[in-house]
Amino acid sequence: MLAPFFPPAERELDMLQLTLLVFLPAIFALILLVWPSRFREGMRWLALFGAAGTLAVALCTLVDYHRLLDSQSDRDTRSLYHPDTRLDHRADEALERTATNRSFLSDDLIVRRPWVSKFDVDYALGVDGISLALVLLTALVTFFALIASWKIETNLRGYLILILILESGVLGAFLSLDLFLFYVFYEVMLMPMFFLIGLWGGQRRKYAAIKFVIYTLVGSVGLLAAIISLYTVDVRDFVPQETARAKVRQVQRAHQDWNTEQVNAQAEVHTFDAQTLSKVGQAVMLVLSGQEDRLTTRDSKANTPNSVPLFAPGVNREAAIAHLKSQSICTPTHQYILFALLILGFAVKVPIVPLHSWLPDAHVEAPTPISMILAGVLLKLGGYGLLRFAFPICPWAADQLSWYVGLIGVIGIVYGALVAMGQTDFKRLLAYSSVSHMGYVVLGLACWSSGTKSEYWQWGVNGALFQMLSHGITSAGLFFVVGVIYDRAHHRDLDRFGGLKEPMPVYSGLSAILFFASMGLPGLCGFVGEFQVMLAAWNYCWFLGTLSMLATILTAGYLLWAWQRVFLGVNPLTAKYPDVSAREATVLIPLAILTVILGVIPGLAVFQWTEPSVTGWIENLSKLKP
Amino acid sequence: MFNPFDFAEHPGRAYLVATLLPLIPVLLLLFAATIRNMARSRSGTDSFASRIYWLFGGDQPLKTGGTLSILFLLGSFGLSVWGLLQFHEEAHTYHDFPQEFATRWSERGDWLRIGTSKTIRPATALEIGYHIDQLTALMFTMVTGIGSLIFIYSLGYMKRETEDTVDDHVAHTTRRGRFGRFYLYLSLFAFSMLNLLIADNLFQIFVGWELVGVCSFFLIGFYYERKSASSAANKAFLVNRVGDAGLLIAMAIAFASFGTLNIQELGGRIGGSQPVELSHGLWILMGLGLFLGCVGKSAQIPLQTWLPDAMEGPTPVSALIHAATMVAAGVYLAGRCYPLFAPEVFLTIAYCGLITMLVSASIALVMTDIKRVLAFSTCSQLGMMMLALGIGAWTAGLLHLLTHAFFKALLFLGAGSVIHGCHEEQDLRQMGGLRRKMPVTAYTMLIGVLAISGMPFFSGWYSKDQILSAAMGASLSNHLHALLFLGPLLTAGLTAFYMFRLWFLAFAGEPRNRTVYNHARESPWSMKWPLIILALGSIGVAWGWPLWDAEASYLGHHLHEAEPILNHPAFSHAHILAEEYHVVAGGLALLAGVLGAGYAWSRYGRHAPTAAQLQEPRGLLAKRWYFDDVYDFVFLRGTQKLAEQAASADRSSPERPRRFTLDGAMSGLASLVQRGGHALRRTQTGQVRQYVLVLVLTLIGLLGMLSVLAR
Amino acid sequence: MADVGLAPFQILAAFLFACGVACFITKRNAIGLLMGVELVLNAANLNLVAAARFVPGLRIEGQVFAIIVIVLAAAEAAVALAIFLNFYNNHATVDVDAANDLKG
Repeated sequence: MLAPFFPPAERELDMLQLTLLVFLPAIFALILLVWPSRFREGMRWLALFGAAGTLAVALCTLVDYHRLLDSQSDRDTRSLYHPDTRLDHRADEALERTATNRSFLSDDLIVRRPWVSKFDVDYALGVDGISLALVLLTALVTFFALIASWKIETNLRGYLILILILESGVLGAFLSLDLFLFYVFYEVMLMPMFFLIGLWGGQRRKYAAIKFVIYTLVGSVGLLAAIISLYTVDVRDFVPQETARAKVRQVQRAHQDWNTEQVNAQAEVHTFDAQTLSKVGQAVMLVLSGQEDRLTTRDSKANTPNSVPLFAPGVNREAAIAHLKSQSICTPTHQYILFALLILGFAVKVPIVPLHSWLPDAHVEAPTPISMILAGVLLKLGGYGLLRFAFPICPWAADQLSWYVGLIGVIGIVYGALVAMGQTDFKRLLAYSSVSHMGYVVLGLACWSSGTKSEYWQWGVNGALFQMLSHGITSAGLFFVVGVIYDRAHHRDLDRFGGLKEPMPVYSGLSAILFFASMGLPGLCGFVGEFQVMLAAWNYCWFLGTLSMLATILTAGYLLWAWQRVFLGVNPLTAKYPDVSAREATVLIPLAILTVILGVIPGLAVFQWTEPSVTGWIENLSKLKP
Repeated sequence: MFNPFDFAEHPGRAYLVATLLPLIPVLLLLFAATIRNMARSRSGTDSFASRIYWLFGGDQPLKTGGTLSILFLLGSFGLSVWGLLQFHEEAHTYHDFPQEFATRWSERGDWLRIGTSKTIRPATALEIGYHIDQLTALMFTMVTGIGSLIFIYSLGYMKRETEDTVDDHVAHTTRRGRFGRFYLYLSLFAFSMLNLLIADNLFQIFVGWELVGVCSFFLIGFYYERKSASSAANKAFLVNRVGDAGLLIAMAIAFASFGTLNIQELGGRIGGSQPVELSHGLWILMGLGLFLGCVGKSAQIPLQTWLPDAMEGPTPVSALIHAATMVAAGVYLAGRCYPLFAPEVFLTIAYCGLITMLVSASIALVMTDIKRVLAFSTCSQLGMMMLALGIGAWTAGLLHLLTHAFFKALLFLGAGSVIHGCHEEQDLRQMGGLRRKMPVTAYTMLIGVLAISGMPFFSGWYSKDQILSAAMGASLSNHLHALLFLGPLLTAGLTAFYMFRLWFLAFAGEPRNRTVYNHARESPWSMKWPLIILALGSIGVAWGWPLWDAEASYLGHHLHEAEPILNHPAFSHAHILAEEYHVVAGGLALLAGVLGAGYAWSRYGRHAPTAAQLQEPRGLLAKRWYFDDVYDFVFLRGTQKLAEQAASADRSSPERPRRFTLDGAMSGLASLVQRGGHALRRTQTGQVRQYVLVLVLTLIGLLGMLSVLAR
Repeated sequence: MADVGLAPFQILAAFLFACGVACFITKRNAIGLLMGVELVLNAANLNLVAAARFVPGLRIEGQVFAIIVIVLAAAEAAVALAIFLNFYNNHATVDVDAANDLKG
């Protein structure tokens, strides 16, 4: 975006751009820290300005990413679908560049700098359609959450700073390619959330905040264990050989009396790079499923469409396979444990039943804007983690266990819907509906089908990604809807509302759009993702598919019932409520319009730039299964 | 660049434009309503907002909205008439060029595409598109035509809603008028329904399907202050959702097996015989799923319970949505997906239709609410159409769909006129003798009654006659299915009986309630004109030459051109028999109708019953065969109980911790850790000497271990 | 002086250390504890100096360490006595069993 303003020789702008995208909110948080207390209203505007700036940078990145997709074309494929624009290809290239110290200059929207060289930790950020979708969602929801926060009075400065830091953490987590960096960002957002719930929450805010932190930390432990275990893997055959040779030289220098064999044995290369580790995972899957003859190097002349080139150029294929087999990562037990740890780590965030019980408490106690961020953004980290890390890094275990993962998703869908039906607290109902809706994400990811019928899985993954987006928008909107009525009624008891449609027509109309979007009405965004997931799920397993379809009845049931109790009927208590204010409309109307746009032209609005990434993802994984 | 007005190359695009036209008033009304409502709080001041408020209609609810909607729908109607004429012309001129004809009248494009490949592979796209054939063209014209009439009728019927404040006597409250909102929903409905009609694939049909459902939801719950209305709306939506789940399953099967949802392609791949792509069981399941969707929308047993309750909506809505168009969508879809059904599914359709037909007709016999009689009659007639489809009488079933739309819309509008004239009185027992007060309503309704009873030369006769003769053929070709003829025959008699009963009770004899009678008045012209036009349609829409030949209906002939060719031996045999025994079947049907009408006359017409004679109906029929009670008990309560159980099984609160819940179990794990901590706490005595002792002992232990290991 | 080797020094140091620890464990009086600690430290000093004398390659490191330890011991004694004085002010005793405020 900024490219035209700089001469080509100095284009290191994607570094600047992505770093800015991640840290702009934090910068504004710093400014807020020293902002004079006299200008209290200015704080709100400053924070909002920061969020808007972040949104603007995110949109610029979208434009840049689209330009990147557009820059390569290929006769054989649809435009925007060139393989070189895929994240793993770009990441490979960046690794190569870093290894050979050629230059950092590039405009491929990948940033890679050594950060803690001692432990091979890189500051690695990168954008593709999958992460960009969620980055945009984050920037958008945070922006609206800040508008929704206008009524916050107590300790305003701290509140705004925490929200901005939270945004930085989330954006960083979505953008980082390095597992260590991801983990750091993942933990960074924990503390702001803890304080935001624990200080600005409702009656039982401390209980909810501690519950949230403990659950999330349990997940984080799983994640940390998995990351450390991945770091122990020797990836020398998967990284550019310059890196491996440099390692050999380093060992030689330290132990000059060793012979070559000893040096070679000691010169292990470790990495936190998710793309490299996913290559290892894919190779392991091929070995474990007895297809190791398909494994080749990336520069091999003998590559056929059937071969899977995973090893780095210049690697001896046989030796590499033997080396891989000698490692413990290449055992079923290790793979299962690794996958289980990763799933545990992300399941808490999704959340997957039975690890969901932090969610209702956190939602009920959190102030409205925080609920919006929690449901709209934080839950997506779980789905994103599954999509970006758990599945590509342990494909073998994911494939073996995919039915169970799908089953867990379906249990979440049905169970969440049933429990939601039994609630009397509006927010709690929405919290459980989140559990139900996020079940579709898990189900969509789990519909693993083989390379010949990968279209259906692709529908599922596309659906899962879109479902995350649409749920982010509708749930943020719906939590704001609750917030609006809470400001007037000062309670959230569904049985004590009623008759809101008459005094608050605009509010009801906008809520109706969000309600029906959440219900999965065609023409609104909730439908698109769910429908794709259902198509995929049926093809994967009729049982899971049928259950997910029947659950739509339950979904309609609890939402309509809530709709009736809140908006319909006559209630003298609510008859004098004023309709939405201009500020409230500023939040609700754009969300409602987005809901409609995403529902009517999802292809143009979203899939156009997310689908190439998902296609790449699917092509990498589905071909592992004959 | 896509030019939707390129009618010369693609005359089918006229239908596209016609479909989109009603969307314009929807957007305009939405926009205006939002602005107006946002500005309302400032209406008293002298601000800019106030001026905006008065610009957009002020306190009076958007009267222009009605006119606007009518104009746009009339535009659609005009386009559809042009399209119909053009289509008939081209059907002949392009007879030998089916390829060109198809490209002129159907187009498809991607809505979503996945994958890198430029070549289209199966299961990589969700498409949208339109496909016009005789059925679509006729249905489209019918929907826009009747729709326009009902839109106009609503100007009069909903007049009360144009006022600043409206008293709702049922809910005992006053509220603002909702004229604009009414037309908003109606226009949105028109768009969705038309979208459903022109769709060439199941996905798009599903989209329209759900959208009409949601419009129906809002319109049934139009008087949402009333608990009964909002509950009825919920019921309608939920019951339809059950059907939609079936439709989803069917779509998933089709997509998984064929990789496409395009109906023409699917029809080509299946065409009535077992396709290689899927097993017989799945084939049946797919048909049943599709049919379940139709069952939900067309209110067939077992999902019929929502339709009578849906009468809580304003009467024009009942006429448009719950009689003429939306509920007919089920039959339409069954007709569209005709080539996709397995023989077993046809049988299911036939018997499902049969049961619905008989059960609903029997309930209609005892209902006293004028709209409920009509609602059950609608169920019954839709059942008859389903039966016709199930026995292979495609043309007859869909012809009945078209003719039924006219006379049922007429009957509902007539009933609406009565209700409007009698100030919201719907109970037949309070009426009587109204023909003197409202002659136009009375006699147009009589035409409707005659038409639905299948009296000769009225439109209903042509379609019913065809259905009956087809049914006779089916039952003669296989005597096991004799019920498939006896059922419709009986229903013909019952229909005549309850329709004449309705007419006699409402219009004939002496008034039973003087207050109602004295205040009754004829409706305004905006309501009478639609009645008259629909009455003309009810008489003549199915006419052909010679008039007395029931098979000569032009409409029927045109429909017949669109009939999918099925290679189904049982059907062809039945067709031959139906031709043979046509006269017998027609005669029997007429006889049944006359007998039913005569019996109604002898009970209610010859000497009008007094109010005392008309007891509150009791028993099985009045309880609607206990369907509602059983469903309430099993499904509604069952689900609620289950939900409550689930909710209480999920949660424990810190104030009252409960171990045996999911949350409690998780907290139990946490408390285990806590208890472990408490146990370990004892070891921290605070005695320095003790610590040192432990330290030294540990040191000695470690040294010992080291010395043992080092050896 | 006869070259007796490292072992006797080490044995003596170990003996001193054991005495110090025993004193540390058995005494309840805070001053007693402090004396035990001094014994332990001096045992370590003895070890260090002896090692400096007998281990080849080491020159003066042992003595340096020993001096550091002595200095540290003095500092530690000062701090510890200050703590005990404070403790005495608060609890009117120097019995360390009374010092269980940190008991969990």
